Amino acid sequence: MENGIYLFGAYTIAWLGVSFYLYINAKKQKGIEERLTDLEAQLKDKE
Amino acid sequence: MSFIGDALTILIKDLLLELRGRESLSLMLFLSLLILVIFNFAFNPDKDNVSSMAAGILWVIFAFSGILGMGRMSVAERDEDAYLSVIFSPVSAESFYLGKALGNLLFLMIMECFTLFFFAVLFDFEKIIGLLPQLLPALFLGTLGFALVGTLFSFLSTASRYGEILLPFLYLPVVVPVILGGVTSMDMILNGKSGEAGKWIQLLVVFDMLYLAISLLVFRYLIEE
Amino acid sequence: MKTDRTITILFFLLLVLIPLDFFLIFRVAPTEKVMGDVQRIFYLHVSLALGALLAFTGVFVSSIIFLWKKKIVWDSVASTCAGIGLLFSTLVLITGSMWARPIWNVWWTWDPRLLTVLILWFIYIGYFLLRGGIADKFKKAQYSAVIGIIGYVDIPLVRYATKWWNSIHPLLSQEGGGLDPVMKKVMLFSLATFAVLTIFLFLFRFRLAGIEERLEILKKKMED
Repeated sequence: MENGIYLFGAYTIAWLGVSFYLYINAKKQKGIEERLTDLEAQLKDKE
Repeated sequence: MSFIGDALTILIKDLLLELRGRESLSLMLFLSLLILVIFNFAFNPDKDNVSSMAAGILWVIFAFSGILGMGRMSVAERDEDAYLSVIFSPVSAESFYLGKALGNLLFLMIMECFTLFFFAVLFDFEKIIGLLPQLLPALFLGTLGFALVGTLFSFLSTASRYGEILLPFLYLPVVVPVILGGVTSMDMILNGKSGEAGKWIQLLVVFDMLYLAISLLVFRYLIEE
Repeated sequence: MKTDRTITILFFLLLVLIPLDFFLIFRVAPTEKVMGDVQRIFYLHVSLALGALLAFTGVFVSSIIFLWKKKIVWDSVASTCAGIGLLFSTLVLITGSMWARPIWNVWWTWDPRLLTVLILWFIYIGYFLLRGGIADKFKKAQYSAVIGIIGYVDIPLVRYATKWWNSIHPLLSQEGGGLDPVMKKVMLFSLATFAVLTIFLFLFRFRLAGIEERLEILKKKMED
């Protein structure tokens, strides 16, 4: 397949880009959820 | 007071401030001169190729000098929230915007005439003075669009903590159509193709009207608290 | 929650659609005669462009709704859309470049379509630069809505101006003539897949904005 490198390069970069976007947002979400449960527990202790 | 009357009041206020030593115009002129000198080193133009580069060089100068001037103009309003006094006065946001845009237009035109003159002197390009009557409509329409969008964006950018530094980043991409129209029409006139410049001038008129309409629609959201 | 269920459904839908799309692009679609296999980038490139357009339209519409209703949630919608649009337009530029290299023998050409996407990219980078510089939530929303509106209205102007400008400087870009019917169907399928992907990414990111909001409310409660 001639010029295959460009073809596969383009598909790889595009899907890596989308996956990366999902990954960082999933990570962010996880962090925030952890803090949320922490805070909720603290709030209960206070009461 | 009328819509236009209010705008003129704002314009006169800005002119008075300028005369009393805000000195944004002199800074603009000085920057233009500096860039002219640097372009002279960078391109080392001679009589043969200067006319093909003139429009590009001039519009780069207009853009950066203009951004400097418009940035200062809105910083002056943001300082100590001076623009807030406008909100509490009977002047409408639209008149305020129009007055500001007219002021910017005036300063830009002065700066541009100055730059054209020094370009003719420093680059030995007297032809440009002779072509001035033909150049002026294109120059005016391009500058009008530039000032209309620039006034809006200078208010946008000075709201952030980065201040006027942000202005070129936000403003230049949006104003690309106007710059394209201004550069191309000027280039055509300078290179003896005035006939073709006509349709670009028409395009600039359309752009100016669109930018004016949308700016008037959204400007009040920028000074409303 | 309802959004959570929609996200899960879309996720499984994409799990079917994406491999199927790959199969169609690489196995079913015929090889283009002149450009060869590289032409298959096109299915991806155009679909990404559609995703970007959808996202930026979302920014425009939700910016208008925000200025009208003044509800901060519409700002979250707008900025979520802007992020996805930025992601997709970056990928459009990269994939376009990787297509141009073997076909036109250059990485970049000042073609009006490319130029429009590039300018668009700059505008929405500016959108996020401005957001980063304003602390007040409502002000941030108000100001970025103005950029979201002007930036979108500017797209056709940029497109038009660059097209005219390009007619003076003729370049090598030329769109291929009519598409082969099988290619057309594959393209449509690809476009649909990316439309679903865009909605999925939007909901995924938007849920995060909701959780962030909840966290802030809790933080405030703690301080009291």
